[in-house]
Amino acid sequence: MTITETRPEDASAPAPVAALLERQEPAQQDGLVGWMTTVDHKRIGRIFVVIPLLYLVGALVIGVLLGLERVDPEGAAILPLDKVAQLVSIYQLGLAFLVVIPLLLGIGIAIVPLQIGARGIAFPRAAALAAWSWVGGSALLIVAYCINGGPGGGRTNGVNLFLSAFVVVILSLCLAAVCLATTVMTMRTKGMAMSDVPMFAWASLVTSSLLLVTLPVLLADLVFLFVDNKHASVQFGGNAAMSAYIDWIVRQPQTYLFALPALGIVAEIIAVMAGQRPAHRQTTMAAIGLGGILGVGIVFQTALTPNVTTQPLFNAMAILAVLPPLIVLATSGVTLRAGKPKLASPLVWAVGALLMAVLGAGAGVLTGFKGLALQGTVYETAQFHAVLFAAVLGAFGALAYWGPKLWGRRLPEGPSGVLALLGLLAVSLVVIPDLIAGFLDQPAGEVNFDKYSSAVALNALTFAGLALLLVVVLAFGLVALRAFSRTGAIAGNDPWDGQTLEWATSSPPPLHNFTDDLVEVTSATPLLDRKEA
Amino acid sequence: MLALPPAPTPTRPRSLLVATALGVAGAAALVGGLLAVYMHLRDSVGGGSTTTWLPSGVQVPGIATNIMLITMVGASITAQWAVYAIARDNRRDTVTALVLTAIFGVAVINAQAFTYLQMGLDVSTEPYAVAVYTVTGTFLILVSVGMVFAGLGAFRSLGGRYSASRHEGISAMALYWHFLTVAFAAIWYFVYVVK
Repeated sequence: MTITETRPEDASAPAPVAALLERQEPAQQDGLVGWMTTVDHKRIGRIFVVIPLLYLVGALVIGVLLGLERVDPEGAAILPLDKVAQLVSIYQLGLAFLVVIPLLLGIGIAIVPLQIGARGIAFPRAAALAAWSWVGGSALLIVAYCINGGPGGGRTNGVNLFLSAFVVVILSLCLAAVCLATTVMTMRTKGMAMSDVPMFAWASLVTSSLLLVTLPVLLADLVFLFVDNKHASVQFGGNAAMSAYIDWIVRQPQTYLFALPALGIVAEIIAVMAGQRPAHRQTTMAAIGLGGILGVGIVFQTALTPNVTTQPLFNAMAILAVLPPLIVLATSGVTLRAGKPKLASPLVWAVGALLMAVLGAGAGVLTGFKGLALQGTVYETAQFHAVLFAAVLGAFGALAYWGPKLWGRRLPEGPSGVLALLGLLAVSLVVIPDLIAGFLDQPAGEVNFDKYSSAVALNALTFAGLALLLVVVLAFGLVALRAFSRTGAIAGNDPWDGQTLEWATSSPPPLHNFTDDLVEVTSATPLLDRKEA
Repeated sequence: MLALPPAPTPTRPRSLLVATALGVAGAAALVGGLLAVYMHLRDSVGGGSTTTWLPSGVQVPGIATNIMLITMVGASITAQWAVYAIARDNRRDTVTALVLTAIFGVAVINAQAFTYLQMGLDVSTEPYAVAVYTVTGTFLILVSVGMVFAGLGAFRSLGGRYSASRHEGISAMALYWHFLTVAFAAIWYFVYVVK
């Protein structure tokens, strides 16, 4: 005899999960309290998206000022020379930890659960805690620099605040990464194997997992530096030597990992815009996985291993690291060729990001060659810019593409497309002249270099590129603000004729993402399957 | 005869266990990073020589540190005992095991405090002191997290939130304590044995 737990009529007509969830959850609150207590992954993702964009403007203002200083070989016309090291430091760390990593994690937190057919993100309260603690930590990080803290800072309490705030930022990003990776690993909808997850979800999983084994190593360095700086100042040569312990995090190969989700975004956008199933999908996934592994830079700490860039392992990884973006370029090319591409703005952003990623990884190949003597020159700065700005271009493409799912409205195609082209031009101007100036031995992180005056024209181009990029970012912000506010054009549920599950729900989606229970997924492009059925 | 309806899909299948595994990977990277810097400092300050690295007059209390290692192994065993007990729906043994695990955590913190007192290190002047306090202090924070984990598991077990079919939280807690034991074994070797 078998025991029944429910009455037969209940079992024969179970209530949809979505309907049950909607009944259980109260409506979301508006206002600051609503945002601070939200468990909606779309809102949490938007916190991680909007604030990094504000920081990006700040970082670019600093970049423009530093670029302007470099145009004048005498230097120190605007910025005090003793502050240049700190400004370079906040610029680089800010681009990585206040802009690129949180921005791409934020897009992942907002979009990935939709892509895998999940009702939400794993541990939503932890994700919200991560978002808000990151906001607090990043604000304190900036305050620390403002009170003469940071690497090279002259105020002990300021340096202590910098180290503490940096620890908070890293812990917050790690917590967000745990939530995102766990979501992809455990909350995929029925039938969705790991090999079927959308490309961006896969890239987010790889990045989050590998951030979790690399950022804690930086955390260890910071804890050491904090204890020493607070109590002894005997071990690490004071603030001056701090950079040697933390600069590996903003150099290749580690920066490749930060930008990796952009490859997933690119692959995703190109397939949809081509109207084709992604060609050689498994190869692209393998390339992204390889890119993650080649982006682990924990063994290349300058403080622990001097002359790290001349090591065979570093060189081998630098050479291999060009493969992932090249493979994505090749598979995307095959996809585009097989389809009839729609010349929409996300495609322009995506192509720009991909080209810049190839340039950045390609430039990285040469950094390890001792004979070229590129270490410590602006060549490394250019390579850093190429990789991180490729990620920024990819993130802007993601916002143009997934904007409807985040805000229910879409960007105007004309302005967005023009800005994408200008963005690519700006980043090219930032990167290419510095790559050349690196061969002329112009040192990185300095603004006063009389003997390198031959590179003045190149420096002027870099400055122009940074200024143009700042204008593009501001213009994108204004266009997005207008479009995503209540005056923008309402997007349909599936404005791009998408292939994956995020386009199977409304724009913006309800609290639990889907109003109907999803059918079992049988391929990597479930929505396309349904359209073709 | 009536058939059972299909079991409802868990809302977060294995999520806690997977998240804990990811957290453990991160914590392992943290401990690895700490030990890497520790060894680097040891080599750069002492040139590989124990006598230069270890300040004169400082003795590492071997018995206390060995007891810490044994205690950590004990905590790992009791954490696994909790998993064993809850898998058999034995809530009393589960709570006992979890409380014992937390007590072992307290004992480790106590032994570490004793070790600090015995060594009498001056953090403001000795590179060795900075390194030892940083590595072991971070480990104590990790142990404290484990104690909170065990305590929460005990309260939730008392509240009937875990059962033989659903004890993911206890398994995750045990995984974390196994990691702590391995991490302490590494710290014990590099900081207290190799010195």
